[in-house]
Amino acid sequence: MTHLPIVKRSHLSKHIRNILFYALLVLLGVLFIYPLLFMFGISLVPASEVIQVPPPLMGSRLAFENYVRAIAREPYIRPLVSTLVIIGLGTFGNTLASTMAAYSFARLKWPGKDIFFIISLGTIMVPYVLTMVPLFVFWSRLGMIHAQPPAFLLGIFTKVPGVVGSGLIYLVSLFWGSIPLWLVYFGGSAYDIFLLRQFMRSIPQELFDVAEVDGASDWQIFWKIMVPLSRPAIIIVVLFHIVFMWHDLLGPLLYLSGDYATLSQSLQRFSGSIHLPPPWEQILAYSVLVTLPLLLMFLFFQRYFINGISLTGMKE
Amino acid sequence: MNVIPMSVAFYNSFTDFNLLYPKDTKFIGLENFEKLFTIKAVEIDAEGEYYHVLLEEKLIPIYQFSIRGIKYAVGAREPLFWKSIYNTLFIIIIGLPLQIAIAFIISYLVSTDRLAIGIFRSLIYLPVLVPPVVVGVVWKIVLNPRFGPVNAALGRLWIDGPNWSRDPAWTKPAIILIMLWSVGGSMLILMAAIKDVPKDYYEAAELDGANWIQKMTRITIPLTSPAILFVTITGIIFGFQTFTIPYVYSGPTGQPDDSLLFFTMNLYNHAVAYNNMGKASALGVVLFLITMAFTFLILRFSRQFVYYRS
Repeated sequence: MTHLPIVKRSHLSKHIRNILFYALLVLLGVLFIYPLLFMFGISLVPASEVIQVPPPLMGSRLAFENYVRAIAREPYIRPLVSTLVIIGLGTFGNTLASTMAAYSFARLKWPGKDIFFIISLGTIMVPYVLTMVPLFVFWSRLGMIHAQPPAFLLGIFTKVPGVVGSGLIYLVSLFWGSIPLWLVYFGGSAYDIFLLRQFMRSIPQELFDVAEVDGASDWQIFWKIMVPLSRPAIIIVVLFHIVFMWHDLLGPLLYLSGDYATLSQSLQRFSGSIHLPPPWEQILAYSVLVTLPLLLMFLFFQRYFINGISLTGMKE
Repeated sequence: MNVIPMSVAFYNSFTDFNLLYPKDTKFIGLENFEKLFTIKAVEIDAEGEYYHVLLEEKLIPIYQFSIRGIKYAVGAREPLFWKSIYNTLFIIIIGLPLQIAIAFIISYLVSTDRLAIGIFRSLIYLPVLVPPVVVGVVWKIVLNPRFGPVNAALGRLWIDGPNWSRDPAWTKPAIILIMLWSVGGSMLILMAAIKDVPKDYYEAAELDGANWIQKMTRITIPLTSPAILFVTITGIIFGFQTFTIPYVYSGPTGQPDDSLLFFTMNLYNHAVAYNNMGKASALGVVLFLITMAFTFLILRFSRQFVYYRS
């Protein structure tokens, strides 16, 4: 009998602790999500109501015209194409190079491998801006800053008539002008090489021994065994590289302008130019358009983002 | 792939290479570095002569201090360089410990597999994906003193909110606050480490009558210390490279009063606005050396604290 009240109390205090725990989490969740809600909310408030102090998160109606007006002021489709093309090329190059380098560090034997691995790890500490300057000089010497493609390349496409032709010319110019931006990623990145190498080393050696006995070449082992088995790690590398390039502002600021600007650059231009009064609702509508593709990507690949971190090899 | 441009950068840092006049490039030895690091302290006299003494040597006063009642003024050849170092160290020394502490507390909360915990992890992680340009734009509006919801909320608590974008004393705290918004990445790394701590350690400690503070300081923190070290070092490396958010929040020159001019922004201005690639390379080299020095110091210092399970 004497035990009963104690049991009851601890039961009750467990309930209270649970409630407090979730209350704290909800508070944190609201704090972290609030700026995003603010962005989405204000982007749909009619212009006449935004000027209230403080602005209402919900207007009297959903003002989709903010989006139309924002796109009319600052083009969206071309920067979106620009961003996607540059990210596509850069991510392809980075993934290919990093995977192959990681395979070579994880499985192959060659002289000086360990030293090369340590050097490549050391480059993680090299600031982006240190290599940025000589690369910028290099490309400007080659005349590749805001460059137009060579005439013979354009000549091929000027023969194509109509919208298709001008679209192709735009894409070719974009491809050519953004070479300095995406070509660097064909060297791979130290962080991704490290992550992939750690993952590849965890794959049992027996698989490779069997393949070797069957007479498979290193190249075949790489494509037929290593790449399929490393899929989760490769997906993580791809996703994080897309996010990284989508976020980049410094690179595009150096090499791209006008029609070929990326989304980050366009938003920076839009928000930085002086309007009186500033069209907050339109700037935030444009911000939504810049953010939404990444948020959708997160929605589809949530588990890779959330659990991917435990794969990054820092546990060793 | 990084090694070649890096060596070129080191070489360029010893020249006066200007992109507009590449043919005039001369090898000038350590002059770029000498200019950056030239500082001198002069006693302040009643007539204000010290000002001319400094200016004669092309030094601009950046700081005043006094020892035993005598006032001194410090002059530098490159005041913006020192300002950018001060600003960058400010957000690293004050911001980074805050970020790690908050990331740790949150990751501790979300490390248990309870009902619906995944939703909260995602909500807190989501800001990490928001592009820095958007972060700068949105927070500039959120922190707007007249219009923004933060000062409106402070006003409701009878606190007179500061001017987050015009008052030089409050711009850096604003950037620190903005960076706290994206602690989600560190949170996930720390969470993975906390989840890895074996449950029986806690059970054994409970049998010995340990309270939660003891469990935290004797078990959780030591066993997650490699992850804390990792977050600290990457935080320092990326902290020194802060660029996009202040660039968007305050413009390329980091106004007001240069209070948001960070190291990388200063370098960018030298490279792009003045085309002075020699100076920009020298700044890059300085940044690299500072980053290395900090990393090695932390690694060295951490040996006493970081516990590796083997």
